[in-house]
Amino acid sequence: MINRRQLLAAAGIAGAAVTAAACSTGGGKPAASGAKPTATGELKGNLNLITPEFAGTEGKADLEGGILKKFTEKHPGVTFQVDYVPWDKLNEKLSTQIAGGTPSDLMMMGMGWTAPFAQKKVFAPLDESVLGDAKVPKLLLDNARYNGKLYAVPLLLESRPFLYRKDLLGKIGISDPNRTTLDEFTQMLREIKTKTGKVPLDMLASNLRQVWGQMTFAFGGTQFSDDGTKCYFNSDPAVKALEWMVMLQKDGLSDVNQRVATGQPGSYQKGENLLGWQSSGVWPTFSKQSPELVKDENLGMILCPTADGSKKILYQGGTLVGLSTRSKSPDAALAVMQYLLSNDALVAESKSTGKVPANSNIAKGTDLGGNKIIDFCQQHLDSSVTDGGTAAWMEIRGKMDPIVEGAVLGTKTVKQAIDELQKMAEEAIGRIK
Amino acid sequence: MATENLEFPVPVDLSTDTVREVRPSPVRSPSLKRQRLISRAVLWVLLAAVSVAMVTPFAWMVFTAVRSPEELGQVNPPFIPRTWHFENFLRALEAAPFHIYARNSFIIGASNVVTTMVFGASAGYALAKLRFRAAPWIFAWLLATMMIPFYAIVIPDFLLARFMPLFGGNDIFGQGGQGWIDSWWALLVPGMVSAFSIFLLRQFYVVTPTELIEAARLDGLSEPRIWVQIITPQIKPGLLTVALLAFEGGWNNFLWPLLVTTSEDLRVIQVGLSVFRQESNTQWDLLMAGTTLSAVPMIVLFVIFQRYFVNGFVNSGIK
Amino acid sequence: MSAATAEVLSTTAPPRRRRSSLRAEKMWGWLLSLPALVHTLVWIGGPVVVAIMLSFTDYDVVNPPEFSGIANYAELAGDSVFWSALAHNLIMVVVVVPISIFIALVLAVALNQGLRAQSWFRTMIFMPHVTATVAIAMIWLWIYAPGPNGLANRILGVVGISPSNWLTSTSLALPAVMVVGIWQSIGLKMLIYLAALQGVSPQLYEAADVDGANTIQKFWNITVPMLRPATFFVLATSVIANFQTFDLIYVLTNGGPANATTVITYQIYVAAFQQYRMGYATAMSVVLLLVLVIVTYISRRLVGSTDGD
Repeated sequence: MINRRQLLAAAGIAGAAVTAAACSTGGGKPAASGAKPTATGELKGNLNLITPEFAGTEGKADLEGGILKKFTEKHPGVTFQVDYVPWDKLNEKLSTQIAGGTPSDLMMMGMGWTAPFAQKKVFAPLDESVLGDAKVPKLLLDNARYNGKLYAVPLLLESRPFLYRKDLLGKIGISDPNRTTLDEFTQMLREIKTKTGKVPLDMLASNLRQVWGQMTFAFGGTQFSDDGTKCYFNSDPAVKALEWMVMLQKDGLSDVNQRVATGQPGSYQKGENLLGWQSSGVWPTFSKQSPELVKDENLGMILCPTADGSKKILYQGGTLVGLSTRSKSPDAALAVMQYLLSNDALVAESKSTGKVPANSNIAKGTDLGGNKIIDFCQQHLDSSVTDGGTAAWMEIRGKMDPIVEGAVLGTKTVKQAIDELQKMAEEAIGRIK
Repeated sequence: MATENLEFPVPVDLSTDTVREVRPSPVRSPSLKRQRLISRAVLWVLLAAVSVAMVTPFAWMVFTAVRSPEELGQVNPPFIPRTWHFENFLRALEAAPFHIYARNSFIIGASNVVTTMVFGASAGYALAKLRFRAAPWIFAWLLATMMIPFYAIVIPDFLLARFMPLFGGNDIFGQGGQGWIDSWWALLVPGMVSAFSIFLLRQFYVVTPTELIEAARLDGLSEPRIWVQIITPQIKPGLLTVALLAFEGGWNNFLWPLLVTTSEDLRVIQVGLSVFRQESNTQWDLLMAGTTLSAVPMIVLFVIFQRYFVNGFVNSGIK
Repeated sequence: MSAATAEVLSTTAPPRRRRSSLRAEKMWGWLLSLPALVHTLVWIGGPVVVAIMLSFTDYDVVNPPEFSGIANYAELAGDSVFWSALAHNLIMVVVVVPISIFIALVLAVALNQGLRAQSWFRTMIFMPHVTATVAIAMIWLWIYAPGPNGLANRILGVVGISPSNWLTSTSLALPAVMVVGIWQSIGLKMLIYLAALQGVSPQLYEAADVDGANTIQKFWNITVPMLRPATFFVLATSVIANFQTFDLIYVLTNGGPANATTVITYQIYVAAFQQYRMGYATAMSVVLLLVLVIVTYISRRLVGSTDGD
């Protein structure tokens, strides 16, 4: 008897708490016009910043002892409390914080999270002046917009160019694998396959959802309409992109089975492939473990060609920063955002995190820590593409991998996979009110 | 109260030979004796093989911790590293304030042990040996609590800590402050006792002889004294096991401490280890070095504890 | 739900005793179990009730939950990924639980004989339990490496079996993961059995020796019955653990390839923290809870009371 009564009591308390927390979340502060950084007046406030970057003693020293310190020297009224959370637990941390009604003032998170968080009113809209004089690639900014308003600022990018082995390709007489169209590129892969017998490209061992995202752009499409309410997974370019991936696997031009555990050398690093779709973040690992790979005579980099041979593309993942609707010091927080995107701060952030600064104002030749992949990607920011772009993205993206995998592994046809993807995405978008 | 009974009157020498003498083999004829020797030898070889299979990944972890970067990048690195970079352990320790993290994890583990030994043992004993109508219901309830995945209740649990009335600036209705968030309360209280521990302790108490309790009652001993002084000493290996697992649970806890803390002073060892796993760049040698170091306390505890698992140790008292 | 379970779990009545002593026993029964009961009611009971309530709502963690009736459950009924996840969990329970319990029991008995170096063996067999899951994943991915050079393929090649792509094959990935699950869970079970074996009186074996029983007879007629309470614990907790497998899947396969190794907890995690669909995630959790209660109930009916008291 007693346990039933206690149960009900406990339920009452906890239930009330959920509702109380949820209700109090609704009342956003900044006006619909968008929060604007104010140049005048002294900035004040204690800012909570949650970040998946800058981990460890070194990262903390770089961020709090360097980057943020420079800001507080100018604005002594502002103090920071930084909460470091690893990437793979960021979702849990953000959800509990938000559910508890105490989100951090400034939240760093990944590409594709912006629209969902804007739609749920976790993020406050920002006035475009927060960008200052920074030049952020248009497509990345579009990705950070929701209903035409900016909700987050891209800071650091993890780019994925094709790396290639100059030495190995040179042996079979290919001095430059740059091709105008995707068809020519595929043709070259076949040629390499015939000449070497090796799997030419390390690409399908990566996250297939991202591969498909990039290739949809390569075939001239996009994944969602501008307002994010329509899904184009069954459009011609998206279908062609998936067919291309299936063809790579079938013809042995790239192989899903070359997947390795995190931390193990991938097949490109092991020399099993001549080209690899690699992250800009592999540089430190390569230069420590396989230094010959990053020597100028061995390492080449190209962008991904498109089907019609027009502008080439570069896939970007990244870290953005958004402003909480519940921030008590939005002015100070906005000033910090603007500062974080400014050249000097961004160069320091890039050096500390090993990521590409999302600002093409940074002059060519600026020291970004000696990572040549970063240098290359920094110079090609205007080729940036990225997937996502709908408020339902959080729901959609996790469900994409298994379906795309099914198509590439041949357990379902391209048509079945496309239908399933389209249906899943439409249902998810339909749930967004 | 139960803790005072944890001081064991441990015999000085518990080596295996002594034990074998306690149980003389009834086999007498020499040919049977030889057969027995052979079968023991076969068993030994089998166990050795199994042990090697079980320990290999751990050895791999330790070897990875001291590998050179070149070997880390090799396709088929030699199982035993050619050069040993023990400095990796120091580099790992410098990468994050591990002295703080280890201290916190230790406190959580130790606190778990104490509260489990008191509240877990009391509940385990009551459910196993004391007859009251609610006992099977409480036991069923505890079983049921283990069946809900943590991910389903983590948000309500977080809110409970967040809106804890009269703590961390909260008023009586739990509003206004941050409750137990970023405090030791949130780190220690929810893990005080687990259904897992109670269940396991109950199963150890269940096999203790009920006649002992009856006899003690006839002697006029109070119920708590029977629990602490008569029955609990009967299940020392069980207590040790639960203590070991309770400590491990606290020591390795990761997600909950991460969610309820924000300041570095309250972070735990597993959070420190995630420093080595960045999005596209895992520092594998340092990660393995840190992971190895974090496993050492558990191994040491196990090595110490298992020494008490020697046949006859418990029952010697009541022969 | 606990009513049914409780009925099955209830044990035989105690021998009659004086009334005052019975009353003291009753009071102390309550007093001693009260702290743990209150603790679990607050930290699990309350949240579970909230979770059950949330399963009838649309809750995105940010905005207040909105009542949605049985919409989540209706969607769940048509969610083929969820049902295949549940099937994977069931397969794991049926395969991993009995095999790992049997191996752990045999190892514990063998390591309780006073063999030379047995403390070394015990420690080594316990090691997987304290080895980080990432390290476990790394070496098993190495063992399962595709192509003729992978260790598993090389060993099977000796008996003439052609190489397989263990973790990227939709049919082999689940068995491959289960082998790791068995390997990883033996150490803890062995520890519990070792501790429980200390409570078995050596006199029983001595008496059996006098009667001329052989080793196998002693194992089945003395060891196994005396370890029934421990077995009940190991069985119940490992059934629950196999229904809640998460870490191993997360690091080994991420539920892939093409959902071939996805499990319920993984689906719950994805729904709750990647998709922000807390209502749907809690609905899955409630179904999992129901399945576990039913499995527990059935197994208790089949096995009978295994408390051994």
